[in-house]
Amino acid sequence: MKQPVKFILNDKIVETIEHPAKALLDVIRERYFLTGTKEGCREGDCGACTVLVGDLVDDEIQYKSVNSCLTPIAAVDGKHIVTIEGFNLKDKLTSLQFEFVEQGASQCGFCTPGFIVSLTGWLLQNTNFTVDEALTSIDGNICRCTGYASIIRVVENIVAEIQKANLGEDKISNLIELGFLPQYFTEIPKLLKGLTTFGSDQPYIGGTIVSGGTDLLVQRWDTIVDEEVYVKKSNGISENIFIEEASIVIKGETTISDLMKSEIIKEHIPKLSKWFSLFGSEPIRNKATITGNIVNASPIADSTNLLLVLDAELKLKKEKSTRSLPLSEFFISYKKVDLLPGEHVDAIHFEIPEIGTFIGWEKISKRKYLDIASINSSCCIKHANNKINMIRISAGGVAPIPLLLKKTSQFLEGKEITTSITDEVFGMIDSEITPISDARGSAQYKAELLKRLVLAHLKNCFPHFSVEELV
Amino acid sequence: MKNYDIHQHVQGKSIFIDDMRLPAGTLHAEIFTSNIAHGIITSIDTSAALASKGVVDIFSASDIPGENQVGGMIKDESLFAESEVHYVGQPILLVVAESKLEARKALSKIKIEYDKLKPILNPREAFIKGSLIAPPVTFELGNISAVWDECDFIEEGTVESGGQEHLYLETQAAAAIPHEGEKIKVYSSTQAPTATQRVVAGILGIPMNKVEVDVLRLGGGFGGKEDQASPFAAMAALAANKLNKPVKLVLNRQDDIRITGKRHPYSSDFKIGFSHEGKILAYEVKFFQNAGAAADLSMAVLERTLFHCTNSYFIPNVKATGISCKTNVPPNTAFRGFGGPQAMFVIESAIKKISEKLDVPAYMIQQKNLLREGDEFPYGQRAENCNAKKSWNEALSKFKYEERLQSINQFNLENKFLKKGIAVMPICFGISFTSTFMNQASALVHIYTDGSIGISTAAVEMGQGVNTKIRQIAAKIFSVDISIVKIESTNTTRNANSSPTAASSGADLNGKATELACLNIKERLLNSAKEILNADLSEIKIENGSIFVNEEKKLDWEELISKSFLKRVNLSSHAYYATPKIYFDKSKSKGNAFAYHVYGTAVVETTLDCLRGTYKINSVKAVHDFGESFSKTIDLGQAEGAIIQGIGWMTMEEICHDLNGRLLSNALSTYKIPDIHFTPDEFEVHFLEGAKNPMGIFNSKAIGEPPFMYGIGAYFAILDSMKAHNKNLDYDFKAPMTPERVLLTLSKNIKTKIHK
Ligand SMILES: Cc1cc2nc3c(=O)[nH]c(=O)nc-3n(C[C@H](O)[C@H](O)[C@H](O)COP(=O)(O)OP(=O)(O)OC[C@H]3O[C@@H](n4cnc5c(N)ncnc54)[C@H](O)[C@@H]3O)c2cc1C
Ligand code: FES
Ligand code: FES
Repeated sequence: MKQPVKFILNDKIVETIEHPAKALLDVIRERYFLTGTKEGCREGDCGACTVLVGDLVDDEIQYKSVNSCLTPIAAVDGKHIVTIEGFNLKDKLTSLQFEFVEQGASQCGFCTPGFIVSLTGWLLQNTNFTVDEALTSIDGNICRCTGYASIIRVVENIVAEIQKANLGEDKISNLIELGFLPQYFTEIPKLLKGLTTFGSDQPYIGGTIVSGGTDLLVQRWDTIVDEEVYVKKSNGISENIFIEEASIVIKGETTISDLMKSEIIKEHIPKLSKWFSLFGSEPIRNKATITGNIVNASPIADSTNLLLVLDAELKLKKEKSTRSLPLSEFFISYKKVDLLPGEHVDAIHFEIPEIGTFIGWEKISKRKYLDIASINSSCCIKHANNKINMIRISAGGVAPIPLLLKKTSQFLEGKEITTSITDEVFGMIDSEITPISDARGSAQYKAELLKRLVLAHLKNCFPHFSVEELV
Repeated sequence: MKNYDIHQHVQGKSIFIDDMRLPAGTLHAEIFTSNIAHGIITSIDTSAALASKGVVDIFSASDIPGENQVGGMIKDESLFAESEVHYVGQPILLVVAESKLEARKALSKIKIEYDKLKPILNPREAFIKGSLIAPPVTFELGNISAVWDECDFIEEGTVESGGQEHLYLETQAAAAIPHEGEKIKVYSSTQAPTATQRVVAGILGIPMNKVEVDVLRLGGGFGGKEDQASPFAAMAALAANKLNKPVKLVLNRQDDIRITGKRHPYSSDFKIGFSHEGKILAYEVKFFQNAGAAADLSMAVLERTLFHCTNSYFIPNVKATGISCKTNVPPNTAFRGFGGPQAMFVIESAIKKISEKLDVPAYMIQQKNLLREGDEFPYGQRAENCNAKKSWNEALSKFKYEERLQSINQFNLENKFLKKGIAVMPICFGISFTSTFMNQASALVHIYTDGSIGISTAAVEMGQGVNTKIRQIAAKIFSVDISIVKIESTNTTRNANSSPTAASSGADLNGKATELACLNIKERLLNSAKEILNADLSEIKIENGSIFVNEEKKLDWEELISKSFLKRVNLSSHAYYATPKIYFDKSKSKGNAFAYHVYGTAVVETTLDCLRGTYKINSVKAVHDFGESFSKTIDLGQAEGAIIQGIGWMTMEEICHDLNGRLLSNALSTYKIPDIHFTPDEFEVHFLEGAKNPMGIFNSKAIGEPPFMYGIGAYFAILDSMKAHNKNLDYDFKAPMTPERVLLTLSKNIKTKIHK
C-alpha cells in the first residue's frame, strides 16, 4: 500500500512513494543519502537519528525534535524536515557546531549530529533560555564517549550567549544573524504554505492505526511495512485538550508534550508536567500519544497509570457509532483490550479534580530519565481532618494489566493514617498483585517498591504520617 | 588541542561504514544465531528462507574454504557453529539478500531443531565442573602463609562484579569488496586491522597479502572491537568471495548486544590480614572470571586482573590466583580497564571490611597503605615516579575532604530519608600491553611535493583523538601548521603486522613511531637545506613553516620541499617503535611489565533516597596524573568519558540473563547507560602538576583506561549513604549497585512487612 508523500527536506521540496509506515530514517538515508542522521538503536533510545519536524501552526512555523527511526514517513507529509545537513553553513561552522569543537564535545562523533539537531531545535522552540531547558532538549541523546561534561559546557556557553543576544520577535532571523541557522530558514514558512500535499486527513475506516509510532515502530518496524495502516496526524494543542461539562477532555491524538504544555492541565494537575519529564525523552514525548499509551496496554504505561486514579473514561468510535467505557474496564488481560475491529479511541475524559484533592504520581526506574518504570503508581485522595474519604491507588508493573489497587483503596477509605495500619495495608497490596521478574526488576523488588511508593503517596498527602519509623 | 575530526562530526559529514556509498549491487547480510545456550543442532531447514524474496544465498560452516576458526590467543572459536552451539547468539548461518529488510525477513523462515544440553552460566559452577579456558594463574609476593599469624585481624569475604555492554554507538560493521586475483578489500569497524586481516585470510584460506583491511574511524570501540570485529568482517568477506559481489554487514543494535561479548563478570574470594593500625600485611585473593564460551582475550584480561590486584597500595605479602571459567554466554572480551577494574573493586571491598572491623573511615585505611616510591608490585616491578600519595594529598586538600565529611555528617543528622555518602578512590594502572611483544607500532610519513604531509600509522581512531595527537606530533617536529598534516585511514597494506589500538597505548606507540619517522625526514631536510642554502647545519632552523639561517628567513616550507625533491631527497619514511626496557616472564609471573604507571585520586559524593531506594551521584572530583598532557581538551574528554562509564558499570548497567542463558537486557530499553541527567552536578577533573613522564611521548601519559576506575568510588559512596541510614547494615559486595540492590538491601535490614 505505497503512497506518495511530499515534504521539504532541508532546503528542497521532495516527493517520493513509500509505504506510509516506513521509517523516516530509512528514507533520509537510503533515498536521499543524507547519512549524517545515524541509526544507533532503532527503538527511540539513543537519539542518533534525531531530526526536526517543522509545522505551520497559526501561520507560524514550529519545530520539534523527533526520532526519525520511529517516525512513519506519512506523518511528515507537508512538513519541513531538517537533518544535520540542513543546518550546515557554506564555509563555516554554525555557532553551535563551533562550540562543540571548542569544548571537544564530540569524540567518536556518532552521537554528535543528534545532539546538534536537538539543541538547535531547542533554540528554535523556546523563548526563555535556561540550561535546564536545554538539557531537557537532549534528554533523548545518548553519548557513550564524552560523559556529557563537555556537552554541558557547550550548553552553558550557548545559553549565556543567547541570553545576552535577546532573540526577541523575529527569532529565526536573529538565529541566522547569530550564525546558528542557514539563511534559507526564512523561506520555509512561505514554501510550506504553498506546498500541496497528497494525504489530507481521511476518516478512519480500518487497518492498523499508527499514531506516534513510538510503540509500533519499535515492536514491528520490519513487518508493519506489509500491513494496511492508517497514519494519524496531529494538529495544534488548543483543539486537543478542552473542558466540557466539568470534565477535561483529551482528544486521542494528544501527545505527551501537548499534555505537559496544556494550560488546562497546568491549572488542574499542576505537577503533571514535572512528573512527565520522566516519560521517555523530549522527542518521544513529542510523538507519543496518550491513546497509544493506553491502547498499547503495557502494564507499566505511565499516563494510563495516572488516568486510572482520575477515573478516566474512554470515548470509543466506530464509523458513526460511539460508546463510553471506564478506562479501568478497558484492559482484559495481558495486552488484550476491549476494542472492536474498526474501532478507535476518539477521546479520554475525566472529571476535573476538586480543589484540595491530592494527586500523586511516582515512577521508579533503573535510570531516572528516559527509562521504562520498574514500577509506577498513582494516587488520588479526597480527605478531610486527616481522614481519607475517597482513595484510588494504581500500580503499574505488578500485574499483566495496568492495575487499580481496589482492595487496598477500599480498606483505606474512611481511615485515619497511622503507622499501626501499615502492615495490614502491605498485606492487602500483596494480595492484589502478581509481579514477575524481568529485566526491570525481580518480583520481590517490585512488591517491596510498590509498598514504599504507597507510603510515599500517603506521606505526601499527610505530612505528619511518620513513615520514617517504617523504613 | 582539539580533535580535528570533530569539524566533520558536527556537520554530519564523517563517514562510518554504514554511510559508505558502496558499488551498486551491494548485497546485505544478516546473521542467524542460536537461540539456546547449549545444545546439539539436529536439523536445519533453510528452504523457505532461500525461496524468500530477495534472498541470494545462505552460508554455513561448510561453505568456508579455509579454516572455520576465529580464535586469536587460543584457537577455540568457530565463525559458524558446526554441530554444537555454546551460547545464545552464536552465529550459525549468514543470510545474504538484496536488501537488509529482505535478509532479515528470511531469518524468521529458517527452521532449526536442537537437542538441548544444560548450560553453565556461573563461573564457580564451571570451576567445580572443571570447565576452564586454561589452567589457573598465580602472582605471588612475599609469603602470605608465613604472616597470617602476625596479623592482628583477618577478614574474609566474597565480591561479585557484573558484566558491561560496550554500547559503542556504532554497532559492529563491515563491508567487503572482491578484487581481481582473489584479492579482497574489507572495510571494517575494527580496533585491530591486522587481526581482522588474519582472520579473514584464515577463513578464506588465502594468504594475508590478498586481504586488505581498511579502517577510517570507529563510532566507539572501548575494547569491544579489539577481538570481536573480525568475525563480522570475515562473514562479509566470505559472502563477497563466494558471490563475487560487494557485501555489507551492519549489525542492528539488538543483534550486536546479543551476539557479542562483554566485560567479564567476576566472582572473587579474598582474605586480608592487617594490624591494629590498619596496615595491610597479607592479601590472598582468588578471581573466578566468567570467560564465556571461548577464550577470546580472557587470559590476557585475567592477567591484568592479577597485575592490578593491589590497586595503588603496597601490600608486602600477596597471593593472587585467577581462574578463567568457561560458561555458556557469548565469549567475554576486552573492555576499558581490561580486568583491572574487577581487581580493584575487590581490594577496595576488602579495605571497606577492614575499616568496619577497626571502626575507622575507609579513607584512613586507604591512606595508610598507599604505594611509595620503590615499593614492589606483586609482579616484581617497582614503583617509579610514583604519584599515588601526591595525587591523594592534592585531592583531599583541594576538595576539602575533611570539611565535606563534616557537612555530610551534619546533613545526615538533619535528614531522615535522604542520606549522603562519600568515598575516595585512588587508582594505579600500568601502561603497556602485558604481552610484551605487542608493544610495537609503525608509522609511514610522506611529504608530498607541495609540502602537504600524509601519515599512516597502525592506530585506529575511535573518538579517543589519536589522529589529532599524531598530527600534533608531526606538526611540532616539522614546525609546520597542523592544517597541512593529514592522517590517512588505518590500512594493512600501509602498516603491516600491527597491534590493536588498545591498552590505552595507541598514542604512545604510534606517536613514538611517528616521531621517529618525522625525525628521519627532518634530518634529511636539514641536510638538504644545508646544501641548498650553503650554510652550516648548526645555523639552520625550521620554524613555523619557514627555513631560517641564523634567524634570517631563507625559504618557505613548500620551497624547501620542492627543491629537496628535485635534489632527489627521500621525502618519505617508515619508522618502527618498540617500547624499550619492558619484559615479563610468564613462567615466574615476574618482570617489568609496564613502561610506567598512571595514578590519581577521585572523591565521589552521593545522596540516597532511603524510602525509594534511588540515588543521585552529586559530585565527582578527581586529581589525575596525565603526565604532561600535550592535548588537554582531548585528555580531559577521555577522563570524563571514562569516569562516567565506570560509574555506569558500578551503578545502573546491569546485564541480566534468564535461567536458560537468554539475555534479558538485550536492547537500549532494558540495558541502561548513563544519560545527561545522570552526570554529577559537580564534575571536575584536575591535572596533577609536575608529573613529567619520560617514557611517554612528549612526557605525556596514556589516558584511555585509567580514569574508568574512579567509577568504583560511586559504589562505595552509595554504600556509605546506606550505612548512614543503617550503621549495622547487613550487605554483600555486589555490583552493580542498582536501585533494586539498594532497596532490597535496605529492606532486608528492617522488620516491617515491606520485606516478606
Ligand atoms: C524510547 C521510548 C521511551 C518510552 N518511554 C515511555 C515512558 O517513559 N512511559 C510510557 O508509558 N511509555 C513510554 N514509551 C512507550 C510509548 O512511547 C508510549 O506507549 C506512547 O504513548 C505510545 O503512543 P504512540 O502514539 O506512539 O503509539 P503507536 O505506536 O502509534 O500505537 C500504539 C498502539 O496504539 C494503537 N493506537 C494508536 N492510536 C490509536 C487510536 N486513536 N485508537 C485506537 N488505537 C490506537 C496502535 O494501533 C498501537 O496498537 C516509550 C517508548 C519509547 C520508544
Ligand atoms: S536510532 Fe536510536 S533513537 Fe532512533
Ligand atoms: S561522541 Fe561517541 S557516542 Fe558521543
